[in-house]
Amino acid sequence: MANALLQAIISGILVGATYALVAMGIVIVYRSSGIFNFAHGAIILVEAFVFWTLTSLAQWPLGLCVLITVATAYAIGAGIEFLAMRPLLGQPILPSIMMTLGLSMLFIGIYEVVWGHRGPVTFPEFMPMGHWVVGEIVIGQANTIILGAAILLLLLFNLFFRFTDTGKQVQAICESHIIAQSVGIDVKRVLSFVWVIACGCAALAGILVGATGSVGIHLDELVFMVIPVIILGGLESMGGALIAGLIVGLVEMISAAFIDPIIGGGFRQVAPYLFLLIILIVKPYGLFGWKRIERI
Amino acid sequence: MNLTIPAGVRDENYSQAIGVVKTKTQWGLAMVGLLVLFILPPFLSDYLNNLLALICINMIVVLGLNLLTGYCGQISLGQSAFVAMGAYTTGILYATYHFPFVLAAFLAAIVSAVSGIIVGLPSVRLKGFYLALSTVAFQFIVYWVIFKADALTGGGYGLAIPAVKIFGISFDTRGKVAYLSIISVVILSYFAKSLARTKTGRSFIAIRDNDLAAEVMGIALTKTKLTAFLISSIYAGLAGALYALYFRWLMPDLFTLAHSVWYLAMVIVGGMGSLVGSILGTVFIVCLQEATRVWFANLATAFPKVLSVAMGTGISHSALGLAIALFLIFEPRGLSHRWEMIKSTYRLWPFSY
Repeated sequence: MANALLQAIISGILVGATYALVAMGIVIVYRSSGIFNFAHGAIILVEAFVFWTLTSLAQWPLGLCVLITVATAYAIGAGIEFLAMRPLLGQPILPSIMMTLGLSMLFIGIYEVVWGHRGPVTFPEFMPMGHWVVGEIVIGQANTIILGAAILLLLLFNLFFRFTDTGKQVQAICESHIIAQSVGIDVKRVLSFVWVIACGCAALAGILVGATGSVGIHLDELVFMVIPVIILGGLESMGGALIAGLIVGLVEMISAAFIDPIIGGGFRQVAPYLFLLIILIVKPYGLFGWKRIERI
Repeated sequence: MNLTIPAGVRDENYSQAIGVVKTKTQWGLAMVGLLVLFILPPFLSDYLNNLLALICINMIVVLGLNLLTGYCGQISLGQSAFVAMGAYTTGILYATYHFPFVLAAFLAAIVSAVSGIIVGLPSVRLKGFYLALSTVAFQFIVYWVIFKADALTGGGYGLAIPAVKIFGISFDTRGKVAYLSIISVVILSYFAKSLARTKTGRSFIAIRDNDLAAEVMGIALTKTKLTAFLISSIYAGLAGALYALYFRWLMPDLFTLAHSVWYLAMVIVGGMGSLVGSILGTVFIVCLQEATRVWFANLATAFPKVLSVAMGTGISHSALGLAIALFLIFEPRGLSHRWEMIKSTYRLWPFSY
């Protein structure tokens, strides 16, 4: 029992690391423009398949593949911002949300046309895929690498926001686009930068998450699976995304370990959403979010 | 607002002022339109009748969603979950427990309405985007429950529904299904149009434009928001009952988040806060889906070496995504705005002022 609990906690934290990695890309867009990027999952999907095409079909060296994948991600990010999001600046939130949903559909369509007939694929192995066994507890090495990447990314973002000019400008446009513009910040340039960074995160997530399992349409669902994470962590908080990712992973794994036997499997898929509804009712701004929700 | 009324038409008494149809021409066109709709189905092929019924059923959902999102400003990404509630309630009551279909559809509307109020409850505290997320959560939970409760719903295998009989008429041909859908959509769109002009509809608009101001003006926010959820979920539930009759085989995959997104896309493409827009948007999106599907299926049979049929869904998804993006950028007020412009151009011609 104690072992099962400990195993559930460890697997939960490792699953949560994936969520945190995905969530950070969404949070950075949200905190700078107030838009929840529903297309993030589809971009992860497309990037993972770009990486797969380069490594498996073209068989180029690994470093070059990573570079090209990240470069395409940057291009996608800049393209999205310039073509799709910029015309909607200053409009109500619904058109922007709808735009990201439309983009998500567009990218899924591109995936289906180009790679859809292949079904799920796997990357050639480039990360240690083994397990450490401590007592009776199994720890996946690849997942530990993802946890490390998530923590590293969080650190980098923190340094970036604290010590660089662009980072401070991102902080400033969170408050108000108009005020930021009037003190001389080029809001459009900063937003473009933010989207590029977010898509870079998506590429990283696509490569790392794809390496731990198969690469297929299920990568798109990541964006919905991280919604509870983002809400619990608070929509504006990067560190919150990491901590909440671990908590939600924990909730998922513990419910898989202890509730599934009672009701017969599959509760894992829905537990985060029930958790989300509870958070939304009890503490809608999350653990570390800014308490700005207007109450009516 | 009165751009649609030709010069020289005056409202002389109150009943004229609140009338939906103002002029004799409008009466004539409405009657001709209805007549064409009612004469058409027997002359159409099964394929076109199917398409007509599908458009009408989607239109019912979109009318309800437009009242909620376009008029009241509450975003719902879980609309197809309400449709699923309606469809499965009807299906289970009709196929398993042999209720009369009308009673089953009525109960389906009630079940949807109750779930609509439950989902709407967070809207008392949450606004905009947060509310959208709670409806997404509802969508996933309903999808999962349908899979899990396979003793009732058939799970992933599906729920078969025998040919439906209403008052002795068996709805076994596609033409009859199309008739029923047309009648439902005409009644329900008239109801929606009327509702939009009542005090409730006006308070929806007030809440959308500024909820604080609306509350200061004496509109009961909680009650009105919940009313909007209630009405839109009743529409979705009734559409679900028609889906049960239309598909005759209910699967969880007919009610996914993607369907919710399409409903929202229909509202946006048509124009938020315009019921004419709901009609135009639904016709546009459903026909676009169908056109890309048919076009690509033909193309794939013509070039089997280069193209696989599996790409068809991808083409259809890309076309829809692109359509949504282009509409948001170039015509954010939707097709209804374009329609109004065409009408006023026609009326003012040849003097464009």
